[in-house]
Amino acid sequence: MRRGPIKELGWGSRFGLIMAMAGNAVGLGNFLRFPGQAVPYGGAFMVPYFLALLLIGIPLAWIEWSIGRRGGAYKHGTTPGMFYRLWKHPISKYLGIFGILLPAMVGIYYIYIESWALGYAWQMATGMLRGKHTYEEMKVSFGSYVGTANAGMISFSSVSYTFFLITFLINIFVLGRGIAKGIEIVAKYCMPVLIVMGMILAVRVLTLPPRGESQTVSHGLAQIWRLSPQDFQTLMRPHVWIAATGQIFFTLSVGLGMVHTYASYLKKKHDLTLNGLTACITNEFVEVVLGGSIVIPAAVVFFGVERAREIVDTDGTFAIGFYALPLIFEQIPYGEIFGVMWFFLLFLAGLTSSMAMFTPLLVFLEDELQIDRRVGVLFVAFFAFIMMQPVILFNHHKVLDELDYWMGTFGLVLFVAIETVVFSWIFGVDKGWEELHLGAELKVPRIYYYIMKYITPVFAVGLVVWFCYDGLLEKITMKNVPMEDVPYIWLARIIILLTASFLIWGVWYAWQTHPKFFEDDVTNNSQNSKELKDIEGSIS
Amino acid sequence: MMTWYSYLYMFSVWAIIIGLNIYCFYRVLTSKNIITHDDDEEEENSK
Repeated sequence: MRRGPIKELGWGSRFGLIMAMAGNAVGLGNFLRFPGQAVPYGGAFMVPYFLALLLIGIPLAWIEWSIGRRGGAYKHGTTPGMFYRLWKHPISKYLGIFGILLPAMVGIYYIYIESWALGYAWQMATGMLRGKHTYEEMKVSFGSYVGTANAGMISFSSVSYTFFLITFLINIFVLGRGIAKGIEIVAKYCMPVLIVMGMILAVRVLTLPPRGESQTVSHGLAQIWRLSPQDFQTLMRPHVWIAATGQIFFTLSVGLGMVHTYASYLKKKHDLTLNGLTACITNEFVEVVLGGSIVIPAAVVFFGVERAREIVDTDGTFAIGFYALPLIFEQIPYGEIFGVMWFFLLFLAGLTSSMAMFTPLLVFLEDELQIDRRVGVLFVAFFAFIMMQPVILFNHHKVLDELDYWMGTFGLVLFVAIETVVFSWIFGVDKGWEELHLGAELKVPRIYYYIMKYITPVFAVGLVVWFCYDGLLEKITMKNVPMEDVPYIWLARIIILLTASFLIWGVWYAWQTHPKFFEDDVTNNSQNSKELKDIEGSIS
Repeated sequence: MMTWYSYLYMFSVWAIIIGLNIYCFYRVLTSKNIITHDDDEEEENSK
């Protein structure tokens, strides 16, 4: 149950709320994943991308905001309690576990990746990356930095581990400060800084002089925005639709349980529709306008179209961000400043997302298990630190990739399907629509009622079916996994199973020890008004 | 190489996104319905 001073528990301002929600969505993927998804299909990719945004992404964000605020009215800050309030079935609370498990599991590798950006910002600032002149040299340098280049039993690098510790402590510090004094303050200042830095970098890249006939900014932009009949023919293939929808899920950070927890601190009179849309559209600005204008155009100007596409195909856009861009910045005037800015931007993008990832777990401990906040923060810090060690030390055995597939990809899609079905079909879209419009400042077009009722859940369930068809069995049976990686893949799965078991026990224990809290139909708001009436009655 | 209609496509998408951002933030920042804890504190004090 929520205790402590109210100012530490809720949002301090509407701008802070929107920045925190947008920051939750804006992450490393906006700058590194999105361009990589768009390049193979060119301008054609934007068609399914924006359709997915309108038909799946924005409705899903509104659904999560609605579930979260409704749960918060019953003093539930996480999805087990929220789902139980939507669907009074014994299974519903256990389905809600995904909303705590997924962000916590993603958090344990996301913070490590985020720390690379901080480490590289430091290396750019101190000139440690100077003297490397080729892409291959940068690739080897990155391997040394993360400790995978000369890894034996473990992959360890004291420099990268130091930056991991700094990043980890920053995240725990922000988490411990609470919503208004921690997450909101960081988001309120970091998001505008991130956007300004992104704009400066985009202008710098878009004004780079040509280095050859096909090494121009125009050729770089064409990789994402070209309009050719061949690309539009790819729209007939399901892969492009899956890629675009997946990107919308990842970029909006829906299906992870974090939006629910943030929204649970709102009251019934607080708007959901305009706030939700503003957070989504801020994320789109960062992704499409800024994210699409930095990595790929810069790579094409310096490497040419063929080589840039080859890097995207073989190593991915992550490689361009960490291997190629430092090289590029070395070769332009004041490049070190832009280099530091680039990696610090990635770090801020990561921080505004990662600080939300352990919030559901902490709130679950506080709300449902009624653990004191300080003890909860210590527990989360201890849990996260221990779970992060295999990811760091066995990174060369694909522990991170395994966690990312099950939690950050398949788990996310599965949870989206569950929550849309629970909200739209079981709870009912009529009640959901009513909930969404309480205190609304933006009237949502009626067509979204039908989109939420039919298109969003059908598409979400269809995506789960597609994932099951497209390689799930191979993933389960570890087909194509080298024998030396198998024990480590199992280790990743044990981490997931142990955490899931703890959460299942936690939900069971919470419902056993204080069942009245979960059955009570009196909401927080009506409770307040009832108490006020009681006070008025006693005075009269 | 970007053709004129590719530029038109790109700038149209950018214009829609930036326009929506301006519209949403204008509505949010000029709204009287702000999130504040004053009402919560009043409720707390009245108990």
